[in-house]
Amino acid sequence: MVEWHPVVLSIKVALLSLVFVFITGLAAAYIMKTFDFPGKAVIEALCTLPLVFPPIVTGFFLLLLFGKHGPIGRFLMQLFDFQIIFTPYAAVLVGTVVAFPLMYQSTKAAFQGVDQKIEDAARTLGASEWEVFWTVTLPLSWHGLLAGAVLSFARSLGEFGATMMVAGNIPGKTQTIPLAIYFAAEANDLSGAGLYSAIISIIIFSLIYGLNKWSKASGKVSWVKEMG
Amino acid sequence: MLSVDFRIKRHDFNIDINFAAGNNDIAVLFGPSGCGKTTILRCIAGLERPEDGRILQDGKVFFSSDDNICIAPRYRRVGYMFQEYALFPHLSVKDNILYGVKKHTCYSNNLYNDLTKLLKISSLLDRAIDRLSGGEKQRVALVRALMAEPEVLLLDEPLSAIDCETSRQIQVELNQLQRRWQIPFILVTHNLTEVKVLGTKIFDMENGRIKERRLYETNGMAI
Repeated sequence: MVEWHPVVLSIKVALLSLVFVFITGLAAAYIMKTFDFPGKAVIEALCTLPLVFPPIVTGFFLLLLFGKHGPIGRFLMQLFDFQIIFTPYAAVLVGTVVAFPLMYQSTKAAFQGVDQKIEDAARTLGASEWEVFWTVTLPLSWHGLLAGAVLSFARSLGEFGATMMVAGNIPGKTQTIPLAIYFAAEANDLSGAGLYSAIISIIIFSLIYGLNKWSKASGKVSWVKEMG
Repeated sequence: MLSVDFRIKRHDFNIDINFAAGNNDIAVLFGPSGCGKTTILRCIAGLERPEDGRILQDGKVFFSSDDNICIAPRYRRVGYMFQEYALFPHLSVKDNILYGVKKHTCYSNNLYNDLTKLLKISSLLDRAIDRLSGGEKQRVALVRALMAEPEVLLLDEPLSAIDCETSRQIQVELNQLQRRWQIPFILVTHNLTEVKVLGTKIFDMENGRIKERRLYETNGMAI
């Protein structure tokens, strides 16, 4: 009998992470595209770091920051009497951090792909910078944003190492699909591990297949080719 | 009267420009590609900031290095027709044209009807931009720029991407528009025919400077 809690939790975690990643990735990409400021290259590198860091290292840093004795963890405890580590929120935090670079990079590439002359045309027609963004940049970047959102969702859904460190493996509370697969395989429950693997594969395949179909239908190049 | 006098550094040369264009003028910046013509238009529109100098339009200061003034493009009321038209590909022809209209008034509705008729695009209004020919795009870009009721119109190689017959028609239309609108038109080109047919003030350019100035009472004069 399959336990559905990891599936439901994984989807909830990935969706919530997606909301945070979408907002922060969009804001970061806009700021980096629009403004020049000292230390921009350092911030750019920091934004990409979780993509190339081993997930276990990302998890360790998050544990240092959000743990009982970490600066943010202490702050949350003092202000809200709330401990994030080993809760489902920790899984959302991890999902957001590991997926952020994918959303940020996709969005930044999409923004940079907008012809600057088109944005300039809007400026000469009386549009403020904010209007240029909402009426020109964003609608013309939509395919890149959607590709970033799908990649981010898939990345959050499949996160294992950092989630294990920060959220732990508490069945019925913080156990996501990847953790359930690992512990089922370790306990020699190959049918359970296989079932969870099939579920996560179907979800991710459906998303990417849907995105490619949509891209072709709307005249855009497949994101797989684009990213390559 | 548009008065332009500024300097700006480029990679391989400095632009040092000084000219004026009245309300009855089509001033032509004529010269080879890469001599700084487009940069001059971008500075007038406020899309680039010169190093020093002044740009004035009917006494209104667009840019002054002495007074540290550089007005944002949206406050200049400068219409700009870009070289490849820079139409908004996600909007219809109608939405492109109305983009710069902030308030829909009786005047703007009449202007919209007049311009779409004059430039023969009334039948294209619901069309997507990628379904227009080069000449149609050119006309849409021109109407879009004029719908924002500019006080100066900048035209960057407006006839470069269209065939000879369409080009001739649009040259006639540009002349009609200038006579009707009575604002300075600043046109950039490297095509001698356009210079002959359109220009009342012709500035031959080389490496960011005006090499020769030729002035005519009316356009259409043979050089």
